[in-house]
Amino acid sequence: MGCSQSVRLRKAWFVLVALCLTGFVRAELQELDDDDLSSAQGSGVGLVIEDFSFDGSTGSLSVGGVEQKTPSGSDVEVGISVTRLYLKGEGSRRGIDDVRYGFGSIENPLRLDILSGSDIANVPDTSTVLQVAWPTYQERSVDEVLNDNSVDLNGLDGLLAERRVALQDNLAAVAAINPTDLARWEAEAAVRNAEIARLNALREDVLDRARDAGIDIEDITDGCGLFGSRACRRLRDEYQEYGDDLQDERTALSSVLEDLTPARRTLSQTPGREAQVKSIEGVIQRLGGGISGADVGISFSYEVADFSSLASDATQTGTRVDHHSYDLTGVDIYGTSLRLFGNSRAGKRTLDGELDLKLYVKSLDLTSCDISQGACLNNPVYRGNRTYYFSDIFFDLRLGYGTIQPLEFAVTPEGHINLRLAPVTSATAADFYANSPKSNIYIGHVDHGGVRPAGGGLPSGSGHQSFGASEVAGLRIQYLDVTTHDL
Amino acid sequence: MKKQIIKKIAVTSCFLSISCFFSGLAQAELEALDDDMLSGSTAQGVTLSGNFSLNENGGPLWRAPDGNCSVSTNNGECGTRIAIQEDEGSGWIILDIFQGSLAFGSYANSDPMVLSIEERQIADNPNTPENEARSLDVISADYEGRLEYENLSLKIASQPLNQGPEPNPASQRDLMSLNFNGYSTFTGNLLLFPVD
Repeated sequence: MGCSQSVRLRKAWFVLVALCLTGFVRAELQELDDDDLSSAQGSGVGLVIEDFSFDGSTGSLSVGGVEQKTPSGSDVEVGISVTRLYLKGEGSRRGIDDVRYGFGSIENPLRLDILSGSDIANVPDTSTVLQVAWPTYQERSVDEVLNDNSVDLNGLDGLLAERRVALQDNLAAVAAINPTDLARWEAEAAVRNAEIARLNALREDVLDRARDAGIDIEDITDGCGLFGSRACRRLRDEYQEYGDDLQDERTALSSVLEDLTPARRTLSQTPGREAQVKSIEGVIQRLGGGISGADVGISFSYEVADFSSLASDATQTGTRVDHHSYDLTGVDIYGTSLRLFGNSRAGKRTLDGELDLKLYVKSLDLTSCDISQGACLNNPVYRGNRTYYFSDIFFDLRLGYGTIQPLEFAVTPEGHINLRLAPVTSATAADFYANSPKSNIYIGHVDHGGVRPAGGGLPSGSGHQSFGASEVAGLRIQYLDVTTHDL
Repeated sequence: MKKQIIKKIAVTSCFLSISCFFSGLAQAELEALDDDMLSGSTAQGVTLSGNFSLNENGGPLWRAPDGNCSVSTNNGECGTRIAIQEDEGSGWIILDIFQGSLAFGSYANSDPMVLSIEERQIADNPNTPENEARSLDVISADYEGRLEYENLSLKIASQPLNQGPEPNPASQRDLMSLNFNGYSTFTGNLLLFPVD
């Protein structure tokens, strides 16, 4: 937190810097003739960070505003302090070594651009779009990287092969569907469905006529009994005749659906599988770019009040200090874009967004003891038993889809903070399901206990347990509404 | 309304004082250049040291009934307040009680930050057209040293629409507050340049 704060401050300085430097820059200026001027397209600003390292462990950062409910119902502030905070280059050994981090290059910087809404699909033409685009690493093709043995892909090549096979299988299954058959099945299903609807309507009509004639509906559906009127029996026969036809149609429909449903499923799987393969290819291209990520870490300590019991007259017996540490290595945001644009909803002007986040993290260690001292510092097995290890993580997260489903961050009129993705409506459903991008999240390895080797890799040793891989693939969020509440 | 104007002036004057401070420092490093030198020079730099102070001792603000916002009478709870309404008709997101000081360069026992215009080579790319520039002038800010914080704090909060941006302890919802003290080490070189 404090670290990104500083980065932001540093950016803010830049505005000042640019202002301060105007005097000097003038000496560099040469007059441009009209030809030069008309060809100048410089529309954005590029940002590059070199040789970066931040270590806030020497300072103190306290976080306030988090409260604990006591058994008697009153609120006590939980003292939270950040005891360790760093952002360094990859290979810093939990921030101990001063490895420098670089981000972007002159040819491939972080870009800030102001664009016109008319140039971007699904954004109001009249609005102005602020776009932040992270560096992309696509200099080398995926196959080139896969064939380069010097690139450590952390098992992602295996995953890609697996997913490519799944996609190929799917495409083969799609190709095996005879378009003529598919069209025939779809047409037949449509005819049967229409016929079923027609027969249902006719049966309803019989019941209506029975009601008008003062005949009990149950007599029509169950039979008119031994002494039923002629009118009743006639309506009953008609009703049953339609019922028999309906049964025939339903049988025919289900036999068509036996062919049609798997074909439809096969077809609908393709975009998701393509998105999966593309996500993994993106990570592989990024890893092949020879760019190392950042090491980021933060430790919190929480001072929590302990009570003798849960009864309302319980007394405080002391204060417990809990520790949490998060250490991430090889963190890299690549090919990501964030767009902010003006929109209007219900007659009000709003600020909406679209986020395409691509994040790769080589490892994330979540430790629940104080790693700055005692057994937690000195005994790796002790520490390992209090650590969850996550390895080879990537997020390809899409939030917001133009004005069809913009990402809305707002404060409600009541003052609650609200994050929202609008529900899909019947008017937007067709576009949404056909075109809105899908998200993929993948965690290669989840482990508990054991020791992660100093140079990276997977944990092993005493107490180690593996929970395998976790994956969310082809995710689309139809509706999201997160609002803070008073407790 | 009057209060709001006073606040705006408070924020502006704070920034003004920072930039004046900068220009003062920047000038101290300057030497007169004659025309020959000027036309021959391709890069110049300035060094910067600074100490930002935001309402360190309180400002002309609201919570104190008598307008006195000294540390002793109001726990120092007087700082810059920024209220933002990003949708029409929405509530307010607030950065409140932003105060304290941040020092760098010689004010933090370090070498000053160096700001300069540098010429950087653009990596050779076979696709680059023949007449395209092979180098680029960039603004560079280089720093290696400490950032020192003294009670640098801020609070993140929100407030309902009908209360307006004005501070109102009864309706404001405080989410979290942060307080920095001590120093951190900070190294990096930031480049800024125009892109097509």
